[in-house]
Amino acid sequence: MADDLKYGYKGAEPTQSFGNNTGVFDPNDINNLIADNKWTSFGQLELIETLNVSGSSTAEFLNLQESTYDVHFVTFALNLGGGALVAQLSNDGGSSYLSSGYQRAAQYGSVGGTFGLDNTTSSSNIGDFGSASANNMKNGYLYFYSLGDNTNYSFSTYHAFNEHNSLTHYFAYGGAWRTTLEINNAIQFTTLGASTMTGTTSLYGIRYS
Amino acid sequence: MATNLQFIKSVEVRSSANPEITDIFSDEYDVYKIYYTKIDLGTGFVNAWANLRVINATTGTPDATSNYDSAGQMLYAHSTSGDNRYTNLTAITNAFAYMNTGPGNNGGEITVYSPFDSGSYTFFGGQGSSAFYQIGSGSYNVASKSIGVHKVEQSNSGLQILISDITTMDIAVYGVK
Repeated sequence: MADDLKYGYKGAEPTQSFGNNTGVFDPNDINNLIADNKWTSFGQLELIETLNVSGSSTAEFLNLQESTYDVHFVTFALNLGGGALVAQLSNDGGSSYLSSGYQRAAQYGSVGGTFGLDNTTSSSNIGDFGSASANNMKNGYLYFYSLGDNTNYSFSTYHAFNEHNSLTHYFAYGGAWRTTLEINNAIQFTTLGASTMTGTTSLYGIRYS
Repeated sequence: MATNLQFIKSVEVRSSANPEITDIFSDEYDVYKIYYTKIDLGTGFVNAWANLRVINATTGTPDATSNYDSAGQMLYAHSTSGDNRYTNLTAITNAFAYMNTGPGNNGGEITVYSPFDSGSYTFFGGQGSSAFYQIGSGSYNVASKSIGVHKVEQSNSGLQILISDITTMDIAVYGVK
């Protein structure tokens, strides 16, 4: 903690922690306590970035702040021109994205009655939201765990509500595992099949996770 | 931007047996989010289930009565899915998918509904992703989707995680306002 944090006290500083701040604070004190993760301010679902996507084949989150957040939350509402929507991780800050080294398992079900398991031990992605024909909407959310820790594996879970090129309206929920111990520092949505997408996706960090 | 996920407590479980996550439920919130990461169990644990008990707010002790029901779907990357369902057990069973010995082999979340309300049962929903070890053939991803209920109208203040040798487990608890 910075030396100037006296909080109106002489001598020993009071112990400061989230939910237990004591003293009289000036703006500089507050800024320092925020930087130290010790300032009580509710609202721990913290928006990192929203991407407004218009006619591109990828949507990239390049600023995960993965050393700050151990849990990330991503929402998406993307309209595809075709192909298939998937999520992939990067270990080089988004210079490239990993197209192998994942395992994935999900349950899906459609309004037409088709239910099934979508699973693979050799996946090209950490989240698969299905094939699309023109103007198929893909909506949902993902959680990512331990992306910034190379001593723990990266995992994802997801739940999506989609239009599909053959299954019409369907859900898919499941999870995936990046099977290499490494830091993953960028996420992208991409369209397999060189199609385009339009819509929004937002990345959040869960503070103190 | 202010949001309505409000931090309550984080716990770094290290070299512990059956840890209790205390004083996390109160009359401030009806709905809670619990995130778990960095799970590594003691040597010899293979595909263990970490079960959950509520901690009675009045007695301060875990409720071990046979009043827990739970159901979960285990989605395997290498095989067909499996259904787990239990009634009248002494804990919510298989709430976290699987846990193993080894570096950070699981991540997920649990939503808890009405744990502090003395006039309601406590309900659970969860989704996780983990590594599943198959002896002789390697490790595979298993994702889980689970529900559970503690069928007693009582006020609960915390949770106990039932696993006898946890090397590491990080827990973060939030209230949903």
